[in-house]
This record gives sequence, structure tokens and C-alpha cells, in this order.
Amino acid sequence: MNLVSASLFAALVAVTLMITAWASKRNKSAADHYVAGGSLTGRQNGVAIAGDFISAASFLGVTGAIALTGFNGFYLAVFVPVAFVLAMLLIAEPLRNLGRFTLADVLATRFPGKDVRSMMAISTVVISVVYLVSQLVGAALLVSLLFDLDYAVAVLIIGTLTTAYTLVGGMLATSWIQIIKTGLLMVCAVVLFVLVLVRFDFNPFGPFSTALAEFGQSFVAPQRTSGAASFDQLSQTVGLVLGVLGLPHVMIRFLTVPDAKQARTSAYTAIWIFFAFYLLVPVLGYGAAKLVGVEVIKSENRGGNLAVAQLAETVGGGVLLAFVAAVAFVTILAALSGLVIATSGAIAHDLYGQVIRNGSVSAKAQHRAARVATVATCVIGVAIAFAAQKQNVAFLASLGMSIAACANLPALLLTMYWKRMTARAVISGIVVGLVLSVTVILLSPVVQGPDSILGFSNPALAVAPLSLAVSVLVALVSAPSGEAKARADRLFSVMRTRALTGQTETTNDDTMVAMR
Amino acid sequence: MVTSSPPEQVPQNSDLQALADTRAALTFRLSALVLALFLPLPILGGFTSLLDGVVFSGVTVAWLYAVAQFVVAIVVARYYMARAAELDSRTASPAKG
Repeated sequence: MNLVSASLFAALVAVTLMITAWASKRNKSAADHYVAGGSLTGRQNGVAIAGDFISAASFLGVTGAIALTGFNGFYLAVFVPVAFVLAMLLIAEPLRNLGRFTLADVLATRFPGKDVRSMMAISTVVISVVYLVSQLVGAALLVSLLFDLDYAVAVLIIGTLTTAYTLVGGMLATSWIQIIKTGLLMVCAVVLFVLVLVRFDFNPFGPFSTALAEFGQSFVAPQRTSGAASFDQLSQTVGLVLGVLGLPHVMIRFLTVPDAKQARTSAYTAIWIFFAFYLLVPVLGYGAAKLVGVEVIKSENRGGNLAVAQLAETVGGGVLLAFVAAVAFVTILAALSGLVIATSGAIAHDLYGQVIRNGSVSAKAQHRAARVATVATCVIGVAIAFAAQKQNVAFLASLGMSIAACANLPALLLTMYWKRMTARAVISGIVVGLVLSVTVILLSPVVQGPDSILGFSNPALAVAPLSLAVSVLVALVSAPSGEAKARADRLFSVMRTRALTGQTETTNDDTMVAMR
Repeated sequence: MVTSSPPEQVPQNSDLQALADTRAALTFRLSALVLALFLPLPILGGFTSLLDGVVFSGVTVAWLYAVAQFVVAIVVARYYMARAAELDSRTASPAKG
């Protein structure tokens, strides 16, 4: 690492630690820790959401994918605005109106039993931990490459900083680090965009026409190799859209604003940022293919994850490379912090506070439990990351997204919108989504290699409909009758009204007691 | 604070349920529209050559269709924001609704 890299790296880490120190003065309760006390504005939260999603995977991965595969690489980006407009329409407001700290809170407003909360909490922990480990391993490999550090040292540095941000600063620090990082990432992307355009006579379509001329039409059009590959691509795209709607660390961001209106503003702001950012990415991808060279990119990293860094060095020299590397590092830290908060919420608030202690936990004990769970999550994540250095962790990210799409989403949507949904159906759907997602991925080419039983690696298109069908079937079979049905219908009506209007119906029975 | 403040005038249950119905119908219609415009992209791109044609300067139909998804998202989100604000005002004063 040269002096410029070290200085930029140290300066950015210092800024994030200053934010954490500032946020620590406001991190006094469980609500502050999990959802920043609901104190963010819609615009601030929108920038933070965009930051959560424009992770290192987006910035480095999508650009590299376009540089190596052409248009098909953009499938990893084009689902994002679709997913977030659906989140705005179907999830954001009900979540804000019903939820407190976690996704399980939403289900518990209709099904207050411990079993539903436990199941959703377990699903949240599984999704967040596999995501956390995949990000941590990927981040450590990237950091060790960028800064020429030992893998174990990189894991320890990342783990220590993530623990500090989340333990001391909670969701407020995590959010503001995301906000700062989103700004830096946009600056990075714009600078690279302008410097690439300089090489193409300021013609934004220059990289496209060059790609067509040098690599052929297949590089600027969708590529089709086989039916199974096309199915896999379609399944991945659908899985990504649906997965976002069930990802705990992304969805709980809608709980950091004070009301439904601000939740809408959050999603709208995020969509605008996605638009601005992803419009630049194709130019960077094709620019890297031309200016760096496809073979040079592949020789550095087979997946193209260092294409942005190589492009930065090519068009801006060592200083720009150092800036891009430092911003990528902060990007990774910010994404990890959000995952730790989501995991600690499921463990401390759902499993410990509501299931083990029946909700009878003092405010002070809640905050202490949140902090203990935060440290435990970080320690477990770091421990697994040490063991997983040589493993192919790509399947973990795919698994996390798949479980979110196949287990969490059907449970959330059917609970919020379908009158005949039952607690047993929620549990059945989550179990089917979890088990089948794991099974499909374990039998897929990503784990078994080219000789695998299955010809595809992305389970969503096959498993999500199955999970939905099982949920519906179990709901119909386990439908209550008589007085129980009347009570269940009343509970649904009260929940639905609150979810969609933010207002509470007046009621003479004990429905509201259950709602609490 | 996490909780939203209550309105000055308490709406009747029937008003609230009607409002919830309106909002649910609106969100389902818009969601169906967004998916109907999006899903042809991976389907046509993965199984046909309909999106392969170059329109200008190396930009294919697929690229234009992909970028259009961002525009659709912004337009639908903006429309929903306006409609939702209208519905919110009905919650605040149900007599006008």
C-alpha cells in the first residue's frame, strides 16, 4: 500500500469513526440501536437504502460483469428499480405502520404466537448470517488484494470496524456511514464516467459502438447459450426482484423513518439514485472492456470484480485507484453493519425478548441484549469467515436472496394481504422455502460443478411458487371455524386497516389486546 | 419517535376499510403493471432474439428496454406518491372522502 492509498484509507476510516462517536451519544435505547429511533427523514433514509443496495457487489460486480459478458451483466442491475418500486407499493407502508424493530414484528401483529415469531426470526438469522459471511469473505479477499494484506488480517480489520460501528453507533451510525458512502460512490462513478468519456470524444454511446465493433453483436445484446442457462438467468432475475422484498437488512430500513409518508419518500429517493448510478455503469463496463481489456480483467480476477479498480488505474492513475479502493472498503463496511443490525434484532428482540422472556424485558435490558447480540453476530461472522477462506462463497449470497424470496416474502405478503392466511401456513411456507432453497443450491452446479443433478443454480423461479402453493394449501386446510374464524377475520381486518392506512379501527372485543 | 401521530378527528371503521380497499387495489394494479412491463425483458432476452437488434451506435433494443425500467419505476413511484398523499388527506378528514 503506498502513501496515497494509506492516507485516503485512514481518512475515510477516521470519518466513519467520527460519525460513530457522534451517533453513540444518541444510541441510548433498543429503538435507537435497531431503527435509529425512527429519526431519519425520508430522503436521508432513501440515500441510505441506495447505499445498502449499491454495495461492492453492484459497483464492482456489475461493472465487471458487463466488461466480461456484455448486456447479460446488466441483468444484475435492472431488477433493482423494479424491486424497489414493488417494495414501495407492497411492503414499505404496511411495514412502517405495523413493524417496530424486525420483520417478525409485522407477522406478530396478526399471529402473536411464539412459533410464527420464532420461525421468521430464524429465517432472518439464516439469511443475514449467510449474507454476512459471503460479504465478509468476499470483502476480505478484495481488501487483501487491493491493499496487499494477509486474508486473516483483512477479516480482523473488517470485523473490528463493523463491530465498533454497530455496537457503539447502532443504526444511526450505520445509516450515516451509508449516506456518506453513497455520496462518495456517486463521486467515484461520475469521475470514472467522465474520464472514460474523455477517451471516447465525450460520446456516451462511444463505448457501446466500440463494444459492437470489437466484440460483436452478442456483446451488446442478450446472450443465450442453452435453455437451462436461460432458465437460470430468468430464475436469477425473478429471484433478485422477489428477494429484495424479503431481505431483512434492507426492509428494516423502512422502520427508521417516523411514518408511512417518509417510507414512500425513502423508496422514491432510492429509485432516483439507482437511476443516476446504474445509467453510468454500462459506460464503465464497456469502457473497461475496451480500455483495460477483457483478458487483462480476467487474468486479475475471473469474475471481473477488480475491473473498476483496473479501469480507475488506467484512466486516472494511482490516485484514482487509491480513492476507488478506499471507497470500496467503506462500502463493504457499511453493508456489513446493516446486516449485523438485522441479525442482532432477530436474536435479541425476537428470540430473546419476545420468545424466551415473553416480552417482559426492561428497556435497559433490551438495549443490553441488542449489544450482546451485536458482538455475538460479529464474532460468529468473523469465525466462519476464517474457516471459509478457501470455500466458494458465491452460493451463500444466492442462498440468502433465495430464502428471502421463497420463505420471507410469501409469509409477509400473505399475512398482510390475504384474509384466509393462518399461523400454520406461515410456518409451513417458511420451512418449505428454507429447506427447498438449501436443497436446490446444494444440488446445483454452483456447488456440485458441471456434473450436478440440476441444470440451474437459482432456485427462486422453482421454489417461490412451491412455497406460495404450500402456504395457500395449508391455510385452506387449517382454516379456523366458528368463533375462532370470526376472531381471526376481525384481527385481519384491524391489522389490514392499520397496515394500509396507519389508523386503528375502533373495536369492542379483545382484538386490540392481541394486536399489541 | 417511531409511532405516527393520531389524527384530530377519528375516522369511522367503514371509512378506514374503504380507504384500505382503495389503497390495496391501487397498489396491486400498479404492481401488476410494473411486473407486466418488466418480465418480458428477461423472458424475451433469454429465449428469443427480439431484443437483439441494434438501434443506433451499438445500443440494442435490449439496452433501451432495460433503461426504460428505470423510467417506469420513477413514473409509477411518482404517480403513487401523489395518489397516496391524496388518500392520506382522506384519512385526516374522512368527511371529505
